Amino acid sequence: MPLVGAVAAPHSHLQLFTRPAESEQYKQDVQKGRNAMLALREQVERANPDTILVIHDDHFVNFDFRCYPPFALFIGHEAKGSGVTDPDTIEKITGATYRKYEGKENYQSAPSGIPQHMANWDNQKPYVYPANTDLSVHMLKGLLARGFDMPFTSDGSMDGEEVLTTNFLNPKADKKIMLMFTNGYVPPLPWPKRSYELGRAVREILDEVEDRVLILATGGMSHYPGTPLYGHVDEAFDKKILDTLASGKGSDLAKLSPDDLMNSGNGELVNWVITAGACGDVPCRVLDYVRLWHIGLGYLYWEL
Amino acid sequence: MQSTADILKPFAGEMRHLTSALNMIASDMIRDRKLAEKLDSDPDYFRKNYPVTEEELQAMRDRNMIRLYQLGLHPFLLVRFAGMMGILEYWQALGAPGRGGGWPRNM
Repeated sequence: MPLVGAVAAPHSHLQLFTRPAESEQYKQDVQKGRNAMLALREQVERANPDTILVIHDDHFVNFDFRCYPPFALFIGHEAKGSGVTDPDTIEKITGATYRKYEGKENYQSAPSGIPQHMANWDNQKPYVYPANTDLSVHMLKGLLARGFDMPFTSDGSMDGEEVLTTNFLNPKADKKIMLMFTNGYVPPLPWPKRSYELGRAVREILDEVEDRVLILATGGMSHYPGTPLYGHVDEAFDKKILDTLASGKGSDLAKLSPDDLMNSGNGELVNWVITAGACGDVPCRVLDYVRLWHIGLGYLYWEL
Repeated sequence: MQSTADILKPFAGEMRHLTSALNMIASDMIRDRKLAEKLDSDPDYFRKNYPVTEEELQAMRDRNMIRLYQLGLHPFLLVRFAGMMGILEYWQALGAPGRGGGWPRNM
């Protein structure tokens, strides 16, 4: 079965909570983003996948400076993570349900607004997703056969951001998932050319199997977390990327350099470039672009 | 005016995070919430267990975000470290434009 769909959606935690001091305009912008995310969910449902391959840059939950691979594939049976705020709030906004543990009362990984939710302190994680292990292993072997020396991990810890996008797009966890981790913010980054080729190899493999797979690329767009540029957004770069994808020229992304990505605050575009490689030069439908004070949020799907 | 590449130079250009011990310490703090408390109560623990310089350790003990950025603490880990220290508006300490837009104020 060929790839049944592909979407790109932000994973910014500020889609799920707003700090008390934020303005009404900011809250309206956040709501605009949530609406776009729910519109993307309709596209996911329309594509009717049985498996979602989530391509996401790990935020130091699975990997750290002991080893930080450019790409890695999860090959375990169950992936799980904590949300970015309390599960009741997440359920209210996204409809995502969660696993309750006996004797556990507090599921909030950190007070809202304090970015500790990427910490990996708690083993009893509320968001649990069955993995398509057979297909993950098949993909691992297929990538190696095609010249991609893909690292693998049996640790399926999902950081709060990866959970967030999955909360919106697979709220009932009724679709199996596969996880491909990338390096989107720890330079040196993988080259876009290689990322695009990886996507093409992923597509070849998916075209050979019976599973109905949808690719979900998380992240983006321009933002500079943890740097003196936080609050600056390269909107011109973002819009150029969206125009390129909307006009069916995704292969142009392979011509970018890692410096192009980093200097525009777009390291996470790695996830989108892999997806563009899997989809080929077909037009994207851009549902929305929302500029928050610290990030540009792009919501789109490929018209396969 | 400085370019984005200039401002990101310690991080995206020189990639100081690749060689700074600060990142191993902060990576371990993500997995062990008691480790951060040792910064104040037992700084020798870090001298014994990590190849950290005095300058790096002092910047961490001072919660000096600008210095930590310049010394090569990876920005993601800097955010995490700031959060663990209860510094929510970390970008203000970095002189970042934040909500006001515009360019960094004091780098």
